[in-house]
Amino acid sequence: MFQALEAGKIDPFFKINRPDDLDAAEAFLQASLT
Amino acid sequence: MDPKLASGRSSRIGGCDRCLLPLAGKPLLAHVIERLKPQVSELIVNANGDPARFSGFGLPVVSDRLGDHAGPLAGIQSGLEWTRANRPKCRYVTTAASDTPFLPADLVSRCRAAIDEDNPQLVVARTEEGRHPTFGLWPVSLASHLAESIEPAIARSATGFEAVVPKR
Repeated sequence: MFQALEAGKIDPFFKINRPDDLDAAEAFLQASLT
Repeated sequence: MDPKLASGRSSRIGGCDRCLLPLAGKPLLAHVIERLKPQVSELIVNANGDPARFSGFGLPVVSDRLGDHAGPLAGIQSGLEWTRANRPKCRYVTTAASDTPFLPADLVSRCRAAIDEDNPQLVVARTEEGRHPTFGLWPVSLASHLAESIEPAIARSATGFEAVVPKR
């Protein structure tokens, strides 16, 4: 999963600034696991 | 390899600690710890207020020494100061924001390589989007200089280091 993150599918410096960011991060993690 | 500590900052969102918000069933801070722990010898958390809210992580919690909630650079200075006082053999501190759950798994090695290659005063992360000054490798020897040089307006910005780090 982490290798996929490092491959640039998400900015490794992606910062949780707003509740919407949490939703995006959650969706990304779910997609990474499937 | 020199020992390193990682200092993660905690900020607030919507009246609560951002780094304690849940992501995939665990706090953001737990994700950050998971990514940093293999990279460093020890971790500390920089946060202000009641440290008990971080007790579940089993890490030292260091508050800002230059005034409560003084800003990112003050947090970095606090991490350096704590390290100098408590881990005298440690030469560098890696810093990372505690609300960035996907931070690079090779952050420390990249920073260290930059130090070894060009011997800069310090290293901060940079991507195509720009610099990320809360992610960096800071020499502990800068602790005193930062304490003497940081003014409140500078401390609120992580990029304030440009104004206070001595030029070689």
